[in-house]
Amino acid sequence: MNPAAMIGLLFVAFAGTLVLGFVMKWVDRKVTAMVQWRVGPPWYQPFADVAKLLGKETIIPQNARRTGFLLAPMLGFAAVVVAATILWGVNLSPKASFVGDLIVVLYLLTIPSLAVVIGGAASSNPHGAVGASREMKLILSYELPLVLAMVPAMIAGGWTLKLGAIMTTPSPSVWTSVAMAAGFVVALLCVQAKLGLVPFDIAEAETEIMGGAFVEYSGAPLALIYLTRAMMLAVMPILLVTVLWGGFTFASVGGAIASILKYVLVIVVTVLVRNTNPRVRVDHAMKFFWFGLTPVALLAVVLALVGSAQ
Amino acid sequence: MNWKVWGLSKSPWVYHVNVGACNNCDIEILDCLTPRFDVERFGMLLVPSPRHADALLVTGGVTRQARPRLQEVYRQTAKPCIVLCVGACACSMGIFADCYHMAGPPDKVIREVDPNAIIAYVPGCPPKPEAIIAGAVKGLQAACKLLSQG
Amino acid sequence: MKRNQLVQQVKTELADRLADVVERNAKRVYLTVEPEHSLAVNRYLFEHGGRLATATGVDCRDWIEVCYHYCFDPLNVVITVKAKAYKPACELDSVATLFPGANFIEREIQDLLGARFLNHPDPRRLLLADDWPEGVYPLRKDYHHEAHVNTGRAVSPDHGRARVLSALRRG
Repeated sequence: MNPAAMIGLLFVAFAGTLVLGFVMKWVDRKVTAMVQWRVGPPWYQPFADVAKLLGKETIIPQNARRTGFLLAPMLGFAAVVVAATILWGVNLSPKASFVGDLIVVLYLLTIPSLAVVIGGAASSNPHGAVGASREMKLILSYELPLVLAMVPAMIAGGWTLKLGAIMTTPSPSVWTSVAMAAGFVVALLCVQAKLGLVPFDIAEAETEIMGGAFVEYSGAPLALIYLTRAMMLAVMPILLVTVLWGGFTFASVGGAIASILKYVLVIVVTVLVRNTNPRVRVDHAMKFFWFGLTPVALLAVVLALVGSAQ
Repeated sequence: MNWKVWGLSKSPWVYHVNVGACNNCDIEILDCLTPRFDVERFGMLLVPSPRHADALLVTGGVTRQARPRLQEVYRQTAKPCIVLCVGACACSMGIFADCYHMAGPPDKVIREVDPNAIIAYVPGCPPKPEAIIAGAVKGLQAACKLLSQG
Repeated sequence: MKRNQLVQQVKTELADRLADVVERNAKRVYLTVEPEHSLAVNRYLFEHGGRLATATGVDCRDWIEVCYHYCFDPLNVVITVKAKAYKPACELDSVATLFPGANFIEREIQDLLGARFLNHPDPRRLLLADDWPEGVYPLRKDYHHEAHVNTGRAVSPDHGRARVLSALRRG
């Protein structure tokens, strides 16, 4: 790929993910409102939120570590944009994927959570420190099942680490294979924790720790954090569908509709889980991920190995 | 109005500060968030930190202990912001006007740190949620007009 | 034990400690004590099944009357112990040494009325601000309001603690 095409893809992916992220954030709030028998905000609400945040002043607490405080949102934002670029590129032309791009995407998508930790720790606020430590515990809990859940898809795609190959190789689908279905469910719950949504929004528990890691942010850094979270809400289901559900195809009308439906289904399931569950304690969450989801993911890997050996 | 002021008018995030209220006004503010009145359709969210807030909902007359703390919370709020004094006690100290432990109504206390604070008043004991919403709308409109003019 | 039995028992066993006993009606009995007997009478009522509902204070001209209200729920009677704390010292033995339930209410009476409770396990301020002047008791009849209105700290002492990165530009 020549550099011009690469930069063009970057901008397309950034703009596309931004708009998609805002739409998905609106879907989240609207579905939440409908579940609660309310009328939700209008469709332009996320745009208004970001516009307002950009117009506010940025205040840095005097004892905060200024570099870490300001750098953390930028790190998270940059990581999400690059991961989105890779995913968009792979979905637009599966032949363009390179060996190991699945691992690159997974690595990049851990950076926004690390940015939350850095930002919270740099805030010089006890609420920020508590939020940072909780986010660290969560990262240690959900990353392993998430990666393990992707392994059955790797195996079914023919022992490959290329996202394009995983998408295009005919493999047992989610509806017919136990391993893929188990992997999908595990990955869905890990995505719920990664996005910081109830029942796993422990790091940013509003009612408990006043915003946790984000308590001291205001103005443009807060707008970056908002953008990052909106884009993560758009990107994580793209990753899920790409790896575990056959990817997006816009070649035929039927394929396009199926792709959109898959994506919307993942988002709606996420939002409904968010609206029907209470927040769990951080030690319960760790036990759930380590002793509940990791064995299920390991079982899925074993089943996939057995299935591929036949 | 430019896009930043449009954003402020369409997405006011509120932070609730109780500096000495009897909690009646706090209950009515909570009612505003419930499905019957649903202020989220105006973009109003209850935020956990004053740094994220555009509107401070102040209830109660300021007690002596709360006075420096209210001033600190106001200074922590990122400007531009409006202050909404909800309830009779917040507007003018109400029946506690001559009490021994009061330091004044919130608008006087906030004007000590910022003489140009934008303050809206919602009288009532407690004001109905409709009144609180009307007061918030009027306060935001006044704030946007002030900010557009510069 | 019935209500009349209890009242009779109180009258006979505490006869030397009570200054006065008044039965206002079937449900209310008032015992007046001098400050040196207050702890003993409180202990007697507590040990015979009384539940301290609350304690109140009244500023009488020469003393502060601290009333401990004991509810005897099965017997449907409330017995009040009115202990006089004579001015200017206004000292009483603290009932919080008997049971922890009296801790906060005695702190409140001490804060607002100035009755000093001896041997109280935690004699800090409860309601008034940290910088309220010592020796000024708002609920006393001779409290002068105008001297204390709107005093106290204004802006917090850590003035100028936050750095503003981008100042607000209007217009």
